[in-house]
Amino acid sequence: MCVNERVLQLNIETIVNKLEDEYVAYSVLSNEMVVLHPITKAILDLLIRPMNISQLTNKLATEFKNELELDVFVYNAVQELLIRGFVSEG
Amino acid sequence: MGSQSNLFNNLSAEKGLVLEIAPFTVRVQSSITSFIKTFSQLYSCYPLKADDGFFSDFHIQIEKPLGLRRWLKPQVKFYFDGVAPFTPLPISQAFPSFEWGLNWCVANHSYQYLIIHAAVVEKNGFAMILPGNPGAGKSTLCAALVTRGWRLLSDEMAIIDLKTNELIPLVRPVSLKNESIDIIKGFSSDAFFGDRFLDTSKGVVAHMKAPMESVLSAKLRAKAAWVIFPQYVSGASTSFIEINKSKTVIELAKNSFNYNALGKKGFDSLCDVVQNSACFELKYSCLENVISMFDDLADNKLNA
Amino acid sequence: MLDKKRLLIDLFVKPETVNEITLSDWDLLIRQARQAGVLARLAIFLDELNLLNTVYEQPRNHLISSQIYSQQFSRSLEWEVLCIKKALDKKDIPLILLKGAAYMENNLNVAKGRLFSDVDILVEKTKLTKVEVLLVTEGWMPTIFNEYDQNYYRQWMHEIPPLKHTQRNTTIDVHHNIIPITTKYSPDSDLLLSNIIKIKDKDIWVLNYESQVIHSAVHLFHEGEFKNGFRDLLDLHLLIVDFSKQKDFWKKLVIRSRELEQQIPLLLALRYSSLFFKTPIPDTVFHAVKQEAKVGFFKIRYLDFLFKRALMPDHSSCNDGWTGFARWLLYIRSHFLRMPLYLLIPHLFRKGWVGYFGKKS
Repeated sequence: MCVNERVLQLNIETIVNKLEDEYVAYSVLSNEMVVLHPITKAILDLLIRPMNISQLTNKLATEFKNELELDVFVYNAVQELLIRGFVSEG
Repeated sequence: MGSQSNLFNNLSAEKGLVLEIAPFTVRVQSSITSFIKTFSQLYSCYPLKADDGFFSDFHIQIEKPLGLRRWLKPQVKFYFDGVAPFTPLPISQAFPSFEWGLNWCVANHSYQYLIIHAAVVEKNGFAMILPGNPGAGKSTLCAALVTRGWRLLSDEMAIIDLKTNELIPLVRPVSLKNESIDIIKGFSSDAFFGDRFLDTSKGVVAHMKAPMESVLSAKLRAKAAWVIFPQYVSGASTSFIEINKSKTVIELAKNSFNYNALGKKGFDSLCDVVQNSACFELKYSCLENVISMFDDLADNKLNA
Repeated sequence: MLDKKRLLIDLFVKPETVNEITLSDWDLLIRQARQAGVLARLAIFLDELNLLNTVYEQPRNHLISSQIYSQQFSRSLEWEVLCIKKALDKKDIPLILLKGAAYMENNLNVAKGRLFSDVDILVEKTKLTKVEVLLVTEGWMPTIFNEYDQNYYRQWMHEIPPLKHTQRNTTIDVHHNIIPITTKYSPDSDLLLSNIIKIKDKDIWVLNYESQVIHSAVHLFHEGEFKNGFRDLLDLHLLIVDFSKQKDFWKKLVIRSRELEQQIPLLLALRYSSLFFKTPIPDTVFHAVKQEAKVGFFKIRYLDFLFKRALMPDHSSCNDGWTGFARWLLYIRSHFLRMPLYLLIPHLFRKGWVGYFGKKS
């Protein structure tokens, strides 16, 4: 199965707290905490609804049109989010 | 005072002494003379409890381990309910071993609190958290503040109640190293110090007695208003820079004894405390400067 | 006045007596429970019976503290099992869990408040290298590098040396079995003789219940050191109570002990579990196991002398004048047992391991 076909979704056990103008995410599943890059925050917001990585990248393209190599960033971010328990797939 | 110091002789009795070191009750037993002396001096104003019918949170024994070393190069072991979690130290370090050991007891058996490695002081009802990287000088700064009207909550542990996010005092002698000892002695003639302990792994160590007012207010909690990361730099002029709150959350978690065991509650409490505090990085070499700056912060907060 | 030695045991057996426990009794009880390694378990036990909030505040703080710690521990274990499953799924290797992780995935009472050190999995010997390579690719690293120790694990312990995950700092022990060539019992179906079963609603396998009990009994009664004896006996009690709800459990238990030639550990497990914790065990089962174990009157009295003391919580308040001597004798005994623990465990995996793997290939 090609990577792009996997359906991703925000884990219900992921919590995002706002601190001034930044966001920190915590995963109850993996006990990991991370400060969110604006694009990563947008990814978590979008993944409240399940979608695959190409749909995700397309939706982000409008907001972050000036970002170079957005698809590479999104791919890497998603891998991290999966490994660290913030997002699940299936 | 006289009868209280007589009571401290009970330390060497089989059941030792039960002392309230809020928020904990601690049973201490030791027959080591040097320990009894320093302990009686530095804990003289802490409430003693009658022997029976009470619950002690920690049962601590400071004694020489059995074996040949008893006579050759005597050592001391910290026992937690009869079990020694650490390797022995030279007997001259009996009192520091109690302080370090009690810190360990609190840090490892209090998962109902979020505990961060930091000093905490309070003025005008507002608490200041001073997280401590080794060598940053948090204890020296803490001791100096405490001699100038700030209340001591702790020189080592910021204890946060997960339900209310308030800081809980754990008032104990302030542990100072090497040059800091003389600096604080010079800073305040009122400060009382216990014996110096040489050749510890941290160098020369001595303990400043917690002011009586701080001990008497040991049950008074406070909410944090500032999180300030101090860094002593010899000769530096005072620099006080506001820092990013998300970075502060990460740093505090790294500096925590037990954050990893607290799950969602720990995360939410930590974020809450940081969100409601002003967060700064401080570089300094002049204690007077810093104290007057902090006094202004406390007054401004009161008048705000 | 409550018996100080029995404070902890009596609370587990008769939790309704919690209100008779004085503050100064609690001072001792908390320490007994902590040293016995069952403080969190006690907390959860009382909490589930709605008795935790009736405990005095000071001891209750300690119970709650240990409960919080163990809850996070369980969450970490769940995550670890998920990560291991993700890795093994990449090469279609079934996840067979042993010991603590198995108890937890099966939602057994024995897992609540219990802290286990590593995750143990079982793998077919033929797939061992594949699994080792896979785990290393997915972020695990060997912890033992010298050839001598490596051989010890592979040859004698029938495990690969423990692997540690570089990011999560968790350890995994990979055990393997040797596929038997012949079998004494001809299988009627996979189900009867396969000694692993699937957990309901999950794609995870564990040993069948009777094997889990016997393995746990063997571990305990071949041990030399009983620092955790009380906790391990309580494990057995809780396993038996949960599993005995399953159909034909007792019958299968006796048969399995026969297959593995471990009737004596089973007898001891049943005897002391019921003695300490009043585990409900049918007389017929006791009788059957006694017959097969063939332990004489005097030997049983001797073992009682040893185990009634060694299995108490490892706290000075639970000792009598003979406890030290009893523990020492058991230490000696463990060295002279027909098969020492480190050889016995792989032997158990080999014996009667018919059915599942053999049939599949």
